[in-house]
Amino acid sequence: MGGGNPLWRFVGVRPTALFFFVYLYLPIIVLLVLSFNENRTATIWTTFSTQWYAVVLDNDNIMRAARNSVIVATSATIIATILATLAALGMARARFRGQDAISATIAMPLVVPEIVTAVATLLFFVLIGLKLGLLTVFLAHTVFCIPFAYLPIRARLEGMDPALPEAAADLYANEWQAFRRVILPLLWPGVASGAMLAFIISLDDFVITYFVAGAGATTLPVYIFGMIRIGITPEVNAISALMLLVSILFVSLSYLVGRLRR
Amino acid sequence: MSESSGIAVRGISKTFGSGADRVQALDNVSLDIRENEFFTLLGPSGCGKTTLLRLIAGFEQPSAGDILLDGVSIAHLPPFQRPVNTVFQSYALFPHMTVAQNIAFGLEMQGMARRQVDERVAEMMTLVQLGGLEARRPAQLSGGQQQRVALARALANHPKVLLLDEPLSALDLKLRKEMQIELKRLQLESGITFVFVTHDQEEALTMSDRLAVMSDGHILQIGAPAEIYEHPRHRFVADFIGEINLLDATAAEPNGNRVRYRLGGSQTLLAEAADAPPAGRVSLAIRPERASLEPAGEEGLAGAVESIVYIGADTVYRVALADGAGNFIVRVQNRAGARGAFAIGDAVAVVVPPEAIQVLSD
Repeated sequence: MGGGNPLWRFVGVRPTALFFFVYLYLPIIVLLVLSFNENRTATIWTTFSTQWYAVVLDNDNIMRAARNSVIVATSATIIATILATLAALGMARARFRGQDAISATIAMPLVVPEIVTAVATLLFFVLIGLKLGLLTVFLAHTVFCIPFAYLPIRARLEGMDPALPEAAADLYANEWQAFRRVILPLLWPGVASGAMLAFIISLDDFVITYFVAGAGATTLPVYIFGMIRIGITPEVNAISALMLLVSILFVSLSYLVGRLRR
Repeated sequence: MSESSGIAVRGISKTFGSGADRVQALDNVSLDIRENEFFTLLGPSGCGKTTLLRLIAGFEQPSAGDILLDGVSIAHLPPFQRPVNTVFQSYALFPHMTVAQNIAFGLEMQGMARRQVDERVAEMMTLVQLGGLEARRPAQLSGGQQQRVALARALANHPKVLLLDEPLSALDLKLRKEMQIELKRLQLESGITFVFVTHDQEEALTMSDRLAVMSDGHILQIGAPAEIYEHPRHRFVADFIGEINLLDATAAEPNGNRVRYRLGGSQTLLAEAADAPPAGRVSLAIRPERASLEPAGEEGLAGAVESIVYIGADTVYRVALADGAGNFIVRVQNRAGARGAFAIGDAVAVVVPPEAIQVLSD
């Protein structure tokens, strides 16, 4: 720590920061450590072991739930990202009456309590007679993934010189050529970043999934919740650690891609 | 040159927004730009000059009026169907493409064969003196080099008209002077009509064949640089271009083909009456270099030297005129022996030849 940081002038910056990080990450660190615990009782440490990871990877139910999670997250991400890209392009293109209201509406799922969305979505599916299953989970996930995909794409578009599409048109590119040759290549880091965020949000979702998932459509978070109700076992620690790894991987990737060619 | 060649702007109006936010950017503007001409739209920011350029390029649609290119209306064609190209203020180079790919873009979009595209790109690289930088990205170029790429990318298409939107404003002074000469050379060599937008009056005067001075959505005056400088027809034009003395006056009595104007107190000036409004309140516009300083007592405007600024080739005297007629700037060339003729506080006479006075009605 160099003496150059002006923050150090303030009394108690270091202990406060330290407390903050401990408060934030200690539970996760405890979980990670205990996932390598040999003891059957999850909270009593004996010796180091990776056996619970083997147990998890060997459990058909867990693997089936993981497969469902990946199927839902992938398909919801693709559809949500396409819709978000179209929305961002439309919003960036013109100024029109009610634009701010539409902008707020697109971001709304970020602030609506998830439980409200969950109940509403379930009610709606029952009302239109849609059978609960993977399809309903996919539909619900697509909806709440859109704002997460939309925001990085919109930010990327806003940082783009508005003269670029004009220059393309000036140089005889029609709308489609201008999009394919100029706008999309410059937009793709935002698109990729948004897609990865959407993927991770879908992968982690519990509340909405729990409501709209029918039999056979159990995803990993829902399965973990089911296991916890019986008791905290070392398997739960191991699955959680694996999910954490995937999440960190994707969020880091999303961040790196978003910074590309800024 | 046939009647219909070049650009004809006919009664163009453009409004943005609606209701309380409604802005009239252009109000019934008409204009003819001749073929092969270096034409400049000059005015302060917000005067509508860029809007007019964007209407010619096709980025905006007119609210009323028409734009003709060689006699054919282009006002409602999309930009990619107009034989005009633009050099943007921000250059708008495609950051993900190399210099060569940027220059080739317009040619490829027009479906030109690969071999011809390569030839044309090489030709353009030579024309703008960027040989060897083909594989660079725009971000790896200096501002001046980016400017040249933007020019090459537009000129590569051999447009009928090249539109330039304040292309030099981001360059430092030395580079700007170089590019002014360079642009003029490119225009003469290519024979393409250049429409150049700037707020820099010096740039407009030195580069243009003709220019239009714009203010508040209107064109105030169109003419060759010397005509605009020496015979401004509006107070705004006189004030915007170069330094000028503007004196409030009323017409007193005609005197042959001249008119005597009264400034205040006993101060009067004799001006050519040729295109002078005969009566009422007027402004007399006089360039500082057209007046001269003589010792007090000579026929002229009486006053006292208030300040003296030596600026190399010239000395600029600021004279406070007697009887509250205002201040008068006189710019005197520093010939041998001319320096030091007057000191601050000296009583002087400002002598103005009648033909140097431009009478403007307000």
